[in-house]
Amino acid sequence: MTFRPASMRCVKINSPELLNGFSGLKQRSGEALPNRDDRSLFDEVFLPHLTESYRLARWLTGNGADAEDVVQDASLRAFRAIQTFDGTNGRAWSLSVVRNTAYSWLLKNRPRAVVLADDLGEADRQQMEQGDAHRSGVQTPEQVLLLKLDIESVQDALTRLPAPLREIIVLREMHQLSYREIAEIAGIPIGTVMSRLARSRDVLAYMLGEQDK
Amino acid sequence: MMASPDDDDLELQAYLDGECDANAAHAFEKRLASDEGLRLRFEQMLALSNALRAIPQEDMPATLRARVGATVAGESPRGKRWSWRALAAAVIVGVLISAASILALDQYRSRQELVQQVIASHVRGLLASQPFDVASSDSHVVRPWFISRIARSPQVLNLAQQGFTLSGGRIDVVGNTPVPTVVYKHDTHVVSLTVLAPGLSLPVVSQSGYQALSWSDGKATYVAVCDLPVKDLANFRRIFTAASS
Repeated sequence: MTFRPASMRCVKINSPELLNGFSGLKQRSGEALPNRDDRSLFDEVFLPHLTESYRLARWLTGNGADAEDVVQDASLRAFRAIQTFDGTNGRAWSLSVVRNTAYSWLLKNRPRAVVLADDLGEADRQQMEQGDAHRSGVQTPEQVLLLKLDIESVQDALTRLPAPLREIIVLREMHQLSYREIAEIAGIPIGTVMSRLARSRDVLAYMLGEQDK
Repeated sequence: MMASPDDDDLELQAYLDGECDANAAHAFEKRLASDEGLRLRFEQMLALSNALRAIPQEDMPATLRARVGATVAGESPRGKRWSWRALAAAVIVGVLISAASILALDQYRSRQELVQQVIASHVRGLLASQPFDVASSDSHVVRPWFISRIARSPQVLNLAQQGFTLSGGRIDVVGNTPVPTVVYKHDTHVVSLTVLAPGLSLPVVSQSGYQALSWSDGKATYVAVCDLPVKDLANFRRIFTAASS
């Protein structure tokens, strides 16, 4: 990837595992939780995050009924894969299961509604992540629009955001997860988290400013 | 060095999201104080962030937790479901096992019944005027007596030196078969040693104060019955086995 933000210097990268890739979800430490009963592990790891799981699924699918189906599917997946949990971050692990289940559920049941970042061409993806040069970045005071930030408008703008951007902003603002956790859950590098997040905010600001015109 | 607008955005964002370390945050704050455009942009982003967080989060429907619980509970261990083939195989194996265990139980019951008959014969012998049909402490008398009456002649040992005096012999009927029983005396106790066909494995049975202990060698299966404790019968068995070999 050619994109190498100078502001990486601003991001805490003091934890060594960051440099080794996002190992948290894929690797098992092996000694973390040996010989535990699947059900008790599931109850301890996945169940406490059920409300959050539902909310994430609600944002990713766009409605409550679909979100319920996704959470049900996700809990089954989590139960079957519970032994792969490495014992470090149950919340991020659970939400990553929900996130992945949501996309496979959408692809199966709402194939036309979902656009994944992987489906986009390279040019589109760059466009999505970086946007047009003249619209992103710091504007002069005259260019900074007064945003229409009532709940209804913001909610509507968020719903209209493309799914790959929406999931990042939801994970950041609704679930208040760190860049690292978002990278783990969405399965993308931390640099991509940062660029998509910036792009999401930029697009939201554009949509919310536009309405005033 | 001039930072590109994108880099500014990312730096602003990292500060906004609390992802800067202390030094970077301090440096950014200095820039924010001197750069009006950056400050406005920051305020805009902060307002957007707050607005996003202000969106009410929908609560999970109350039924969902139960639904998830039922889904997971319905999952048999390790996610395997019974196919009808496996089920059919399990039924067949189950039937075979229960048939086998009924047979085994049957055999056990019949073997236990056999020992009970031996004990009953011992008791009947004690109730008679004497517990033997031929009275003799001489094995050379007892043995021919058996041979004259039934096809099989048992080992008749004189174990007087070991504390078990030969008293005689009688013929019992066990399982519709006449079988020889050799009677020994140990102090005031009467020990009946019933000799059955070889190769039987019989349980230890206690009944009405009488104990029956059995063992077998290549020639016969022996059942010793007495009112002595089982450990004394075991002693008798040891003495008998040592003398017979």
